[in-house]
Amino acid sequence: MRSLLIVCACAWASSLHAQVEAPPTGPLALLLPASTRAMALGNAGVTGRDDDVIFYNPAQLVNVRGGFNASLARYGPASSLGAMSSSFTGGPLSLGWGVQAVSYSTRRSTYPFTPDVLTDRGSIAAFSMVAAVGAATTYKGFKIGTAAKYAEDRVSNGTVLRGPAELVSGMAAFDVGVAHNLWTGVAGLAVQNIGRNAPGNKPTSESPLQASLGWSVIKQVGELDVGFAAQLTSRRGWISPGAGLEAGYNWIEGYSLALRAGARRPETSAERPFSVGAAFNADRLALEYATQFFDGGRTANRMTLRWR
Amino acid sequence: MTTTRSLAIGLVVVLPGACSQSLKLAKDDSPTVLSHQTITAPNPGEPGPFRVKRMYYGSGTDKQRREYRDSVTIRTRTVDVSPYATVGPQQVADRKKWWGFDMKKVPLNGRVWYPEGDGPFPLVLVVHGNHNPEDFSDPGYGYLGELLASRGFILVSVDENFINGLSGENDGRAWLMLKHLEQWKHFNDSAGSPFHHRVDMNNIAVMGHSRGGEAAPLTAAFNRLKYYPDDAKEKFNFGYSIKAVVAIAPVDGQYKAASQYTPLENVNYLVIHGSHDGDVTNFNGLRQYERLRFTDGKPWFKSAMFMYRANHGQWNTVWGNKDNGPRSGRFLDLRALIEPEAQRQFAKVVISAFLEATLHGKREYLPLFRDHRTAGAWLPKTMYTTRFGESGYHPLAEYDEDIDLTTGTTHGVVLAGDSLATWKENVLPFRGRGGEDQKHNAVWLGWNNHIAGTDTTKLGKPASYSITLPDSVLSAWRVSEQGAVYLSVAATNDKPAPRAVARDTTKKDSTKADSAKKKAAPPKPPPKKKEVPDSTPLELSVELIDAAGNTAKLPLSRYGVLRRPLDTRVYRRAGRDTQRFATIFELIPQTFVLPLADFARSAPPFAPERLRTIRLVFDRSVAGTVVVTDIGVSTPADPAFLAAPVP
Repeated sequence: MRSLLIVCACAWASSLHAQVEAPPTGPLALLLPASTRAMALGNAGVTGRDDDVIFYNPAQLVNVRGGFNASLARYGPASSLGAMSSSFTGGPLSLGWGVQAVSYSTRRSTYPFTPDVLTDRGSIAAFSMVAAVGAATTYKGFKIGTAAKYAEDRVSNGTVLRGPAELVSGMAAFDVGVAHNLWTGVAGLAVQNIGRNAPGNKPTSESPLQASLGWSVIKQVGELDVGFAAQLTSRRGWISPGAGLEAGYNWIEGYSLALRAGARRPETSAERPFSVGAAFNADRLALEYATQFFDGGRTANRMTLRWR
Repeated sequence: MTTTRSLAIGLVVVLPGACSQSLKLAKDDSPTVLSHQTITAPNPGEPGPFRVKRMYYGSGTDKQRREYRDSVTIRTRTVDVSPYATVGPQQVADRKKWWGFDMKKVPLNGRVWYPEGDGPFPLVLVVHGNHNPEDFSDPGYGYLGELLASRGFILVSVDENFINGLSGENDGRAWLMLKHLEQWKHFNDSAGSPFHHRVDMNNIAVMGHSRGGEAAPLTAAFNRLKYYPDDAKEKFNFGYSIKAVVAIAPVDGQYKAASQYTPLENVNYLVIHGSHDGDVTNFNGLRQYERLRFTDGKPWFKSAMFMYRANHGQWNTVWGNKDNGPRSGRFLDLRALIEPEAQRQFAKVVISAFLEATLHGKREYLPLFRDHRTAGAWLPKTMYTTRFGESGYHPLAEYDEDIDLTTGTTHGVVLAGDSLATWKENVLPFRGRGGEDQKHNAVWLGWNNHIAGTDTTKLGKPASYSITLPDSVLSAWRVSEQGAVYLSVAATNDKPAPRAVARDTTKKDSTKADSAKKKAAPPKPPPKKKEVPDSTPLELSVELIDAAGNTAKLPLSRYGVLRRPLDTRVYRRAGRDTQRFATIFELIPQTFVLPLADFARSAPPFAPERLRTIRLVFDRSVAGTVVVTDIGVSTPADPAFLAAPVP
């Protein structure tokens, strides 16, 4: 544990010398948190344990707490995000799928957009989505997985996205990941968005090719279940460390409450590094909530309803 | 906003309460049932006259425990348990790092309580079951060690913590017990040993808890084998004089030698189990109890005792009330548990009495196992259901042999029912879901002596069920006034509908004459109220008939209580018990032993040696259903079993 903290501290220190803001990449849907739990934990989701881990590390689909997730998020007055994911295991293979889409409007005319654009309101209607299917299995004690996905950004010169809006960026890509138990927790490595961004009618953007290395653990500490997740993401020279802490309390079999907090290096200076969240579990039903902070007191709120 | 906040606060306050169930316990009848003390011997749960000494033996190199490193009086060698206990490749390194050894070099560690004196003293080995290996289980039987040593036994709590956390390793647990016995033979034979000639190697008992409770009878079974049943390359050369086996809340069938449940013969056996066991929720030891056979004509006996409100862990002071791990309170209704000291007092009384009877030959404790009401002053005040069998018993009807309702276990026995609403044979179930059963059959007998109709006071002839013996068995079994009738009975909550009116065949069938009347819709019955289960014990009579037709009839309640099923809610969460268990009680027939002399005294013309028919007459409760098994007769090998009758 101590060594891990040292590694995290070193990673954080090294990231100070890296680029302060993330390089411009797209589509936007690939840059957004795709899990309410991960969003609350500093977007450290590479060792996640729910269906939505398909957006972070397909290897973790093995032994995932299968079920169905549906998430809704509001980033600003004109943006709505929806996401769904599910997984199941058949024989040696674990399979999963997920879709995340966001509709918003903005005043900005420069593309690619950064996540803080979602807190905006403007005359340009826009839409971004990502859809992924993945499979994972265990090989010699290592969980390995891959996911194929398609992501795109569309914009329209009106306040409402009508008909076949203009495609500004679209890409087919794949992710690969590996995970293994380490130091009573789980370590995971994922390389994501391997693929080329197809040129659209607007200025093209680079794909957000990134590698994430993370570790997480859950321990019983007295009456609490304490979880810790840390992750280091490198995207085209920009390094973002992130970590989060979770404290859960289960007072009777099947019911639990959890509080979460996380920090990470954000994509832009308009985003605050901190995020918080909470979860309530009642048997197979889980309700999760997370808030991410932006400058000017703006917040993004995300909620997930999960059926396991 | 205020409304939302109030709702959130309300949810947080109400939810925890709404999910847990209220405490539900069966009405305690112990003030009545345990109101007698007919055994006059000293309480076996109280310390005896010997001064108690303590010591450790073992490797002397233990990494984790100072007592087995610095405090061993006798150093012992290591043994290779790997043929009997397999460790997965991922566990090997972790275990070796933590323990400092692997399965090929496990220590023979034991903590010993022994009496001061020359002896020789009987030897009792106790082994714990599966538990967190790092939370050492072997100190948890100190309460038994202190008691038994003071009463002249050597008690060894065997360390098998290093084998915990594995699966399918109960054969390893048993083999290690035998290696400890081998060690004790060496201690007894070696001139320089502090136990030289102080161990009575002719009187040995093995005892185990949980998985150790399966290992204990397995130890007795392996003890008589020449080879390990799963691999003849492993030769056995034990043959110790194991006279008694005690199983505390045992599992059963986790290890199956040659894919068979452990067969056992010719040994005394005691099994105890708690109704509120949150780990081994079925009374699995009943299966081993049923499998035990007495075939050599020697005076063996077996007893099964079920203690209401006892759990799995409180038999061990280390385990306590954590049947479901460190956070058991979130899963299990701990409020229902009996006080730990009371639970252990029961263990002290019955285990000590059992060992006194089997290893010290103190026959005065034998009646406790026939009828626990003989020790009302010794037993903690709760409810018990007990089974009993001994080597003088001959079965008449055990219901395992065929599918014919009219034939008994012994050739020539005839079974017959009269006016019964229910008469069927089936396997005795365990309460847990998943198809596990007691591997033993019984007959379900239901009756309702009410005659259907508007007159609710009208009763018909009492229903009955009879077992008729062929003449041949009476002389062969030497049935006499010194003998007894045995039967095991459980009451259920089922109540059949009133008996149909007998058809009067002398009258003309008027229904044919008026078809319109026949077709008229019957009046709508009034809505049924939810029936509250009747908690009153059932009553019935046992009537014996001799070859000359002389009868003698006594109430069954004279020999025990035929109480309704004991409502047992193990879990804290409302609805969890009904979800996880097929029934909220364990169906355990209580053994009743009815001395034939009592019948002869009650109706002098009746001649026990000419017993022809045993009849259960359902004349004392108007309606009900009972489950009956193990009906037989016995001339007990030791008359002491029938001593100390309860008035």
